[in-house]
Amino acid sequence: MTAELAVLTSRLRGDDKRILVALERRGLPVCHVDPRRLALASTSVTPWSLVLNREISASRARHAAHTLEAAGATVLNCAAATDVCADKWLTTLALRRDGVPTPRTTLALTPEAALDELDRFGYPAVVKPLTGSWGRQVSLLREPDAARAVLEHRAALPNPEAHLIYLQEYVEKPGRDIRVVVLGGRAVAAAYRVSADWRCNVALGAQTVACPIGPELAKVAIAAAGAVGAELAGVDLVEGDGGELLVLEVNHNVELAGAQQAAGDSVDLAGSIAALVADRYEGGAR
Amino acid sequence: MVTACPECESPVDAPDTAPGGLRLSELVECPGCRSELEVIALTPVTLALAPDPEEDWGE
Repeated sequence: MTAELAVLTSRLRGDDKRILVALERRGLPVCHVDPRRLALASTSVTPWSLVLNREISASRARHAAHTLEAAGATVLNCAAATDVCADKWLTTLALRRDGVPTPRTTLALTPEAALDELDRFGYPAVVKPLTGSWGRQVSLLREPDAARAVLEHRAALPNPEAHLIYLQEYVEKPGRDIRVVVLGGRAVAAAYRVSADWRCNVALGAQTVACPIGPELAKVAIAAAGAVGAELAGVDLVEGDGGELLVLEVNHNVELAGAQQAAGDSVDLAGSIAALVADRYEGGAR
Repeated sequence: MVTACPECESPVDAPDTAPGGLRLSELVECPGCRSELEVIALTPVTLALAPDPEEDWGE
């Protein structure tokens, strides 16, 4: 059987393997493709009609998605959504455009402009890299001396993108944030990520606890995934002072372990992704 | 299949009887030194240190 369906990932994590196995169990012609061994000419015709893009490197994920789409494949998530999710500022703009609530956010185009802006923006503020996950290189600035130190460090980094400063209002949250997994326009699982740290990333040790998906949470999470055009999304939200929900970011390559642990047997997230992919494949993305 | 960790030489069980069998690019943790290892060949099973995270890695 020709593999018409590909799962693209350079690191076959537990999540990815479970998705792959779930697709195989459905009898679909699926294969694992490692993008580190992939080269596609601009004139290529894709060997796969449908590609589930689980690549961990944002650069490889974005360019693979664009190249495979140009070659005629359907890619989940699509290249446009991957582009937006891979850049926090583009995500913020998309959320704002669609009226999805987010914390107050500003992009300063140099570290110096950021330092000036912070006098108006106010403290505490959070500085995030435009690209990246797991809370890495995210800094909480409580006062100008800390801001000066962090921004001087950013200015010294060789990557020009590091000099673009994403400033976000710090939301005092109740020791937790919320991750919602949205698949095909449905909120299928949600978890509180509980941490003593001000960052609530599972990668930094946050514990996950089941979170009920009420109508407001589902509405905001689904709107956020829709704003960035992602069919598969991990939407991160915080609860503000008054309990209002604010979207922090939308992840295009959602990691499932934390949400799955919180959900227990109530939902099979890898199986749900496989079902979505199977629906798309059987619905004509071939 | 038991093979040696390329970092500390502890025995690492990389079972091809696990659900779905052992796959290329699959990640395995060394029980000795906790290094993250990648399956780079299946016959015979060969493990290498998994690449360090890069700046653009993430969700």
